Amino acid sequence: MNDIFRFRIAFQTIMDYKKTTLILTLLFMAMAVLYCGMFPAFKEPLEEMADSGIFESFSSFFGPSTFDMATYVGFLNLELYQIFWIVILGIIIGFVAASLISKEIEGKTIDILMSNPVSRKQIVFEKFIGLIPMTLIINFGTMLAVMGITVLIGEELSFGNLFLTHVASIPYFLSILGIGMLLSVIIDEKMKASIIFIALLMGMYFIETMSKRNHSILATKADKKIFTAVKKMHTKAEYNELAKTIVIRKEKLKPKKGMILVITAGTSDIPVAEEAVVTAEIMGNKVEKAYDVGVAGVHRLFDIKDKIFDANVIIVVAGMEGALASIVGGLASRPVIAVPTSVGYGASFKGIAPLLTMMNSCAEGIVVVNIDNGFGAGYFASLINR
Amino acid sequence: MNVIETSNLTKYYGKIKGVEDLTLSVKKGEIFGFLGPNGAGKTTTIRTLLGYLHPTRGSATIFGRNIEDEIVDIKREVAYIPGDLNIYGHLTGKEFLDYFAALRNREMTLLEELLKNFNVPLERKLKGYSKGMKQKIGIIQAFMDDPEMVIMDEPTSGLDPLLQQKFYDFLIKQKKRGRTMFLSSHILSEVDRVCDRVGIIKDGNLIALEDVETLKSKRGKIIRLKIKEKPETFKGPKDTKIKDGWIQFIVMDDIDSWIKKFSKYIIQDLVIEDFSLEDIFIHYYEGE
Repeated sequence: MNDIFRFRIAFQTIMDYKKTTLILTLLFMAMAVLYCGMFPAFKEPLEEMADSGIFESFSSFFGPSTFDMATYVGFLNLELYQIFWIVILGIIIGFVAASLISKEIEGKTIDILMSNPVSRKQIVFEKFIGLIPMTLIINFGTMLAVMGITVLIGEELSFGNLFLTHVASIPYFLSILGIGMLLSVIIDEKMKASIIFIALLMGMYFIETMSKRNHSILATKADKKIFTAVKKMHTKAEYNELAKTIVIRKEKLKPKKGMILVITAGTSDIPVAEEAVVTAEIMGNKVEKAYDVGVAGVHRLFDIKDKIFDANVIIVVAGMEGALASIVGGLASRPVIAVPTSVGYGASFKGIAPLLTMMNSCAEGIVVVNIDNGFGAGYFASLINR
Repeated sequence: MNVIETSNLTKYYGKIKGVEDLTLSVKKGEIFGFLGPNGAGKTTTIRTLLGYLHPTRGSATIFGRNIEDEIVDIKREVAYIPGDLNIYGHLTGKEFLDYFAALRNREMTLLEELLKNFNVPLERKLKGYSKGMKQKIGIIQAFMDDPEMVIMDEPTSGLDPLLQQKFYDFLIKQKKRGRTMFLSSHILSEVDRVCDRVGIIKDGNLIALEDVETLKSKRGKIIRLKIKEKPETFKGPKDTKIKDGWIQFIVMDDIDSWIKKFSKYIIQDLVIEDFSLEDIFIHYYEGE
């Protein structure tokens, strides 16, 4: 066990890459100085470009996190960090890692190395460890260069945030190392391993920036079968059995201030109500529910009168004669969206009866959506609830 | 005590046979010769023994330890000189030896002696080494910490005859110190010279495993004679050859009866020679 913690192979790897480390660090420091130093000269044209809105297309390509290019931080973020840091340095480090073991295999030096009392695992592990110092030195070397030039050109930058950015990039580069090493072990030709690595990294980068543009996804009227199929492609998909909705949450929206209240007359109306709830929620609304409070026992409505007065928008889901919408509409001062449902007996004509009741309501402030259209109600409520 | 013991050790590369059902043992303190032409399975056997390849079937132990579970411990006591020796070009000789000494992590008791015998330019980078120098540093790194056993894959290739002799002397010295050596070779004179026992491998199968001496004696003598009578009148064994008036045949053990038969002829010249290992080798590979 002692031998494992002597890290001789790791140490040798550090020594082997001494020159590479030095050259890369100087290169990236120079690059940082060059780019940051360029900023004052570019400031004006960049501001003009920003006014023309050209960066919108940039940011949709590089991800919404991109700042305004005309500011120093935004300029650094896009020019230096997004392109040079994440992509080019990622490629270089991955390239080195991908050639690490395959170099020994291709050059057949692994034969003599393995004649020593070391296991395969130990060789791979120590080689990995041996590249970490290089990564750290380039990382913080560049950080110091950015700090130095920032002070020199007198721009404003939070050094604490800069430090955090560099600390946060360590796991990124470690995983790059890991992927590179993996390829290096699987593929015994060093050029092949390195090239496959680059392809992989570029692929991941584009998938990442593209998927950043994706909003959350909502699918309605989905049965279990559809959900199972979606789940296979997207493990984060969630299913609401009552509402028959599938939701894939990607972005976290800022919650809106107002509350949307969803009321149902009976229990059979709940599936439609749930569809409205899920829709309103994914659009960033605070939603409260009050189910089974219909006119068959109208006293139940009194228990929730506070909620009715608090709500910014109210969705009323009712079948049969659909009278609940009129009652709520008569109480509330905020917009009421009425959803007729197809539950009930014969002469309700599968929702026609409540639809007509709701459209003919004497209480003002009521709009009606189509029969069973919980999604439409939720969506519309969300538009009102700004 | 046996240092290496293999039992039906088999390695297939997919469907291609590397070595099959190899059962042999190497005793402590001997130099074991592993003989065979190129492609016979020598290197496959060695690489399997060192844990570089996983055996398809069968098992092997070195110093009583199983090669599949305890290979790291085994390699503490076993060094290796690869046949196709590749070393780190960017290191100097000294850096290379220091690196490997650090990996072995013990006293380099023989280093000085080796450097005296096999002198290499330690300050020069290895990529500037000639083939012979590389081979020498390969020998140095293997023996420098005086391991219990050294496995060598054609170690004298690239060495001039003088160095070869030095190397053989060194091997015999190591043997006297009680160390074991496993020497794969296709050079017969080498095996003849230093080995105690020899295993002959052909197409992945072990076809002979014997003491070098017995192997030689067992295969008898080559008799060549000239008689005054016509050579065709001589009644020799079946494989008798006649060439330039010389009658030549091989006898196994009944030399006496042959000598007595010769008295019926008028002998002009007579040569009785030991069968050399080379003859045996040819006999094995041409036979069957």
